[in-house]
Amino acid sequence: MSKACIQLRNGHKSFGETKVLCGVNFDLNPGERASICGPSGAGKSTLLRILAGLDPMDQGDLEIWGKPAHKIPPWERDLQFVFQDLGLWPSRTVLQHLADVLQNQGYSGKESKQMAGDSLKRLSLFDLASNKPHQLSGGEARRLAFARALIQKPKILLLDEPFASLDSDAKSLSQSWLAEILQQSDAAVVLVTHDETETHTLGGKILHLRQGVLHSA
Amino acid sequence: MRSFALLLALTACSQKPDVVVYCSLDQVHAEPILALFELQTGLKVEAHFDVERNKTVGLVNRLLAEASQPYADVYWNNEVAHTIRLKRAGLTAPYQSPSAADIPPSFKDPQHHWAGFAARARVLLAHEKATQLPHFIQDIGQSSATSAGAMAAPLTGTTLTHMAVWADIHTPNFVFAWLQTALDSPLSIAGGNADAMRRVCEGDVPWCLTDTDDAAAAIANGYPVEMHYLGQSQSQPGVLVIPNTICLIADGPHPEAAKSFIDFALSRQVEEHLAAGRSRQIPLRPHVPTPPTMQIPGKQFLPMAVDWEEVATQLENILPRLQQLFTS
Amino acid sequence: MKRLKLSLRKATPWYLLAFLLTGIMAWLPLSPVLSAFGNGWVIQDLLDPRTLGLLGNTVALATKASVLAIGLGLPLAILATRTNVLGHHFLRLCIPLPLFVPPLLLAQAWHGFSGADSALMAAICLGLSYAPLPALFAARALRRQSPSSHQAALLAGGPKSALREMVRLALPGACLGTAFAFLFIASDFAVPDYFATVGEKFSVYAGEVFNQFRDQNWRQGARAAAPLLALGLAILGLAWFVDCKFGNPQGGKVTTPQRLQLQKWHPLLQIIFSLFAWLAIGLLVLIPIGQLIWESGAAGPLAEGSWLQRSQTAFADAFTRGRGDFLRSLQTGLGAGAICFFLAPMWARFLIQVKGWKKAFLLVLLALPLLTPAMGLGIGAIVIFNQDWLRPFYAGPWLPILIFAGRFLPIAIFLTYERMRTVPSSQEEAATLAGASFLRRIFRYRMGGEIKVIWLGAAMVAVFSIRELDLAILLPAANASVAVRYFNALHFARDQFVAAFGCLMTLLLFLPYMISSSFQSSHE
Repeated sequence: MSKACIQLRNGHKSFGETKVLCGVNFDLNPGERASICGPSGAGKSTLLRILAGLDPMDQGDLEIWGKPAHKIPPWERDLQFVFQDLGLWPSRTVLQHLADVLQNQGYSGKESKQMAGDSLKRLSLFDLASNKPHQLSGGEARRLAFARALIQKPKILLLDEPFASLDSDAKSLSQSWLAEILQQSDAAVVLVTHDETETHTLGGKILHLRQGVLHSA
Repeated sequence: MRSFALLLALTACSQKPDVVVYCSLDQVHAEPILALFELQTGLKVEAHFDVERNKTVGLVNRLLAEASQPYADVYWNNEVAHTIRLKRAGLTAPYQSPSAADIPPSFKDPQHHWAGFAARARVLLAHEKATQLPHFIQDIGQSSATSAGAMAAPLTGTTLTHMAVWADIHTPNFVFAWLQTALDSPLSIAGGNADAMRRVCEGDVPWCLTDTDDAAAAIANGYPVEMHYLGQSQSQPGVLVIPNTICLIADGPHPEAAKSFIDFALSRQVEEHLAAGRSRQIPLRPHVPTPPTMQIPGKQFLPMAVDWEEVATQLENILPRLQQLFTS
Repeated sequence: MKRLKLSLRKATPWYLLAFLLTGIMAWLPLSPVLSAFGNGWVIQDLLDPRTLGLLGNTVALATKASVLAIGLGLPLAILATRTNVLGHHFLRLCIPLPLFVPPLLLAQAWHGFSGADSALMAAICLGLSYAPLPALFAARALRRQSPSSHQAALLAGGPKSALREMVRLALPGACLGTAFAFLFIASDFAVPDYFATVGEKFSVYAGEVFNQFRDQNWRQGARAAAPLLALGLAILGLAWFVDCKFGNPQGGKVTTPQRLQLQKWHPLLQIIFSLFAWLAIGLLVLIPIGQLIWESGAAGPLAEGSWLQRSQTAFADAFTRGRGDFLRSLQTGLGAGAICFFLAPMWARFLIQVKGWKKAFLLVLLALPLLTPAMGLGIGAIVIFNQDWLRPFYAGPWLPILIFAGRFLPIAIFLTYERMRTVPSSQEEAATLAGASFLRRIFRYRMGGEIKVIWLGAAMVAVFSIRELDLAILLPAANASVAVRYFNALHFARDQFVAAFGCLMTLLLFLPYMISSSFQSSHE
């Protein structure tokens, strides 16, 4: 029996007086796809950040790859995150965004640049290799954020409102593009969104976060 | 990171000194003397200086703070009282320099903890066109006719020493009463002797009480000013002469080199050099060649007789109340 | 090797290093002075009428000077940074210049130029001297305004509305800069002392503190400094609160809005505002520096040669006699700046994650070395580090570098923290997940687009270190410095050497700023 990559039991989180997560249970198996939707402020991003190890839980048990999460720092969880505001690095070029990630994994400078360039070609971003984030359009910046997350070939991919602030045409294009990219990846993916229509992008199970608790659709 | 490494390289240790001198004489006048010593002896001097507003106090505070592990070998003060205070604090060691043999006894410590050399006199510096000058120093600020000038606040340096001398020859109460009258008058109170001198040069005030070295600087710069050697009062006609003093710091790291430096500083050669320099410091020993315009105590003017040990005691007595008086 | 790489990713070891280094350079030298309060500081000391009077003088002087500083600095920052006043590029470059000139030097230049004196003149000189602080903080806030918010303001009410929005954005930062100015002014007694020599006699509390130290009773000096310390904390705390609550939350932007075209508002407005801006720069920089340059060749009636010849001789003499001091001061300043370049972002990052009373306590702790009189810090350093086994360190160049870094580190921290908190945390988090080391996360990924503020903080530390006088007298390797030589030479009139040396010192102080400007991001 394969280990679940994420197993959360009885997760609680409050911000001051406001209880955001009240006993959340969540499982994700390797290669599984899950969409979590809920209204703004429901705690979707909070849940994702807890899974990534970016924010602590107040209470609950979280295991990543069968090990207690508090023993695994974020960079050792084989996990990547696409942030709602994309989290691009303003002083780094498009190429450097990918090359830096590869260098952190142990590739040499030359190898990293080569691999990053290849990746950019596949994503039709190669012409923008020497541009900086403020020189990219919204869609291009979004693709870069995805590319940076995927180049490490993570086993877990967390997407926080990946299509926020896109018009319907752009959203549709981005969703098709993402679905195509993810077809080539065996990562377990969690997508959070406030728009239920976006949940079909991944396929897989659909969950609702309401009043701090996760419910199946 | 590269720039950090460069900085590490820049901060490499410099050559170790052979003798460390703390010097309250102005850097511009002391440095040629120190350079001459290095040239003649081959010993390397590390000199530390003070500044006008701190005068003697920054370095004295440092000597006191370093008492358990002295860093300095020699203290070269530009007056007497704080040197005596260091002696009383047990920070000095006795050394009878052969160079001091012909320095008058009134400018040396009987226990050989310090010796004086190259002095300054307390004088009136006046604009050439100034009228109504005080006849005596103690007339300053005591009437409307004698309040148009300036003097330094007696909180440090030679002005403080001057007040301590008066406290000894009169009483502390005399000094405070005198100062209160002066403060209530239009007399300008400057930050230091140099400030007072600048006021005269710039025409803000017609005269000021200052030292011969400040006065000499003003004359050398071509300002139309003159020096007047005034006595303290009718009953005390002498002019106050305040010497540089030098002492050996107890348990200093380089005692033999320190003694060599003291011998050098107390030599005729140095007095002649300081007399000829811009500061026009007055030699204490007789027959030292001096510039023709320099007035010598005992020849051109009568110097005051001063008990420096008593003056040092009075300085400690009067300083707290002086601080209250001048910072209220 | 892998374990080392993993530990380099964790923040905790770096925070511990920052604590340790700051402890050595800032808190340890303070401990002997702070121990003075252990003997029981009696509140009656503070309530003594004389003490209250002196404190009142100080607050009055510092308030007047600070009002002038922000009154001049804020409009100058707006005009130079966000409008098309004539010569705005050069104006921006000139804004920090008064910081590179010691206040006493400025005071003497102004006295030489105007002949004026009195307490009001002291306040004016100090206000002019520290006007760059509110100007610099305001300029930083203005450069971060988003183009859309500026354009929205223009559309809503024209240039008037846009200017109002700029003032609203810049004011909290300017208040923080003014608070720093207030601190420096309240602890300055040399300038009030200088102007109080003719006419109105007045004293300030800083003089009282100095006198207590001067009486060789440094513990008494420490206790005397307590009211100034408390006042400084209160002012800084208030300004910090204002800046945090009302400051510009917009961050992460690298494009500055277009400059306001003044002539479109009114044909004469560009000329009028340009005149004002240049008049302000004249008051801040051109007149005092010009006075100094003139004095380098001026002399009494009997002087020989032309002005130019005397000036050349004076500059040559200043350079010859002072070049060793210039190098040492630069070494100390750049060393202190480099340490703060490294430490300030770590502290800023730590302050971001700490909340509530812990943050307030930490801020007080970090600000203490700046608020304590330099003499107390210097004597504390002697007491702690003048040990037999530490003799090479005590005598060497690293002691002043560390002590100066410890004293001025709060400036770099506040500058960096204020900018870092506006940068989206997702930038750092993405780098965390990508496996970047802690240092890279901070320097390259979180502050990569804002690296110039780290350089600016380091440059400010370097400048204040080079200017520092009391510590330079007390610390062995710092004594041979431009500050000591300049103030020592000041004794003998404001002669040509002093003026020339003052000019060279100003140039030296300008160097760290030039270095930091050359490393700044090219985004603007």
